[in-house]
Amino acid sequence: MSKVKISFNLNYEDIVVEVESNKRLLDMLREDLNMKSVKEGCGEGECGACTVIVDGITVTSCTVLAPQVDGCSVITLEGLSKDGELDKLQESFMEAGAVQCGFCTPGMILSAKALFMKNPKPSKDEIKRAMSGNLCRCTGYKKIVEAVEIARDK
Amino acid sequence: MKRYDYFSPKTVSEALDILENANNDTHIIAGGTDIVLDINKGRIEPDEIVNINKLQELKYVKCEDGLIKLGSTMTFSEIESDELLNKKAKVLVVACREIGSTQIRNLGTVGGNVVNSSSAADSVAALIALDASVVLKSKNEERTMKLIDFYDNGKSKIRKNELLTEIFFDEPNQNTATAFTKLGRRKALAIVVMSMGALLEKDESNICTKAQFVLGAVSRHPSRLYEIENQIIGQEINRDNLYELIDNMSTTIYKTIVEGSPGSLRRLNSAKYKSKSIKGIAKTTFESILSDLEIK
Ligand code: FES
Ligand code: FES
Repeated sequence: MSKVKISFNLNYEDIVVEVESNKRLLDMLREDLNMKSVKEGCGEGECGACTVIVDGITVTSCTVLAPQVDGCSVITLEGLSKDGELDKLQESFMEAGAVQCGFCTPGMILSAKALFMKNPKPSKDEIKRAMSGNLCRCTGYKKIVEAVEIARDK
Repeated sequence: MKRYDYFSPKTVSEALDILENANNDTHIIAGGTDIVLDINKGRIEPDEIVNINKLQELKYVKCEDGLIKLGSTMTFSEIESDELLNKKAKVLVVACREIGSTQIRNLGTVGGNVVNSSSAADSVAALIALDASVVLKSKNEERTMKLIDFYDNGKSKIRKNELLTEIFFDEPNQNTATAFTKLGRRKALAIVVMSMGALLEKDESNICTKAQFVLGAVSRHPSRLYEIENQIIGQEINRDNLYELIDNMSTTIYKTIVEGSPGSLRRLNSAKYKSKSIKGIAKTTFESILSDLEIK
């Protein structure tokens, strides 16, 4: 048995897939399910580029085995925009100029999204803490925090 | 990369049945924060993976018969936000709060940290400061062991057919305070990581009746400072008496590191750095305890 059949909810849709037992969640999402917003940076749980939301909390998908999400609900950036309409976080990131190369952005936005799901009015410190597992090599973080504040106040 | 058989038991007894036939290449995965990297980098090549993060039975914190008990698959985030632990075991809550990033705290479990213990495993140092014990279950047996006795030269004493199900410690009383201080936050950036956990109990006249001090990342496993604990037991807990312990701690650290590997320059530098750093770490720890015990 090297393949495992799992069923889970991906971006608000129930799906059943057969996945290799040794695949990481990151690779299943990118390769098998075409969720290309999920990025691999370090591959070691340090940078947060691969962040996704599983059952309402953020995890680094490079440190999760694909079969482990059996029965869970998974949200990637693709799940944030509905009918062509962007999430307010996606808009505020553009508004604040918080995106440069964009590699860290999906993970950043999902960390902020998970924070809002628990706490719709976080303080600046709470925002910083929630985003501290996401590294950005370009922006210097200031605009990213600003972007989350804009979305919070919208 | 080798493919392996994957099991995801729903109950503890199902998990123990699977583990009864486990061999050296059977690996248990809970949060996965260590093992997924090991698999992906080819550092381990398992035959079987047993996923235990679906074991709801092992997700609990409770107070029973004067003991605080926690299930082994509690994540660091769950511990961090647990009300009982926030009230009774600050040392553990703070240690878990300081681990990695939000994402890693959402995944990593206390049981995983205990079984894989690196010398820098923060939750382990905190649990040893609480003088915790572990419960190891197999299909036909249940063993209980002090956490401090659980390690032997880089390895934990868990057997292949066993599952770490619970960690427990004495419920600290009203006159007890605990604290945890860590130096070096992010793994990628920290040159030196070191931590201290402490528990102090006093009687009505502020005399110390119990002291448990632990250092993380100084020796192979978090270590108790028994000699220094004995210096304060029976003495009054106040700033002067606590600060007086700090020089001894510093010397102990220096000796432990240098004697751990004589003649190594890297060790010598680490000994120098850590024996100095402890001064700040210990002060912060003691100040937090003094304020929680309401001693001015
Ligand atoms: S790629 Fe997963 S944390 Fe960096
Ligand atoms: S925008 Fe380039 S890494 Fe963040």
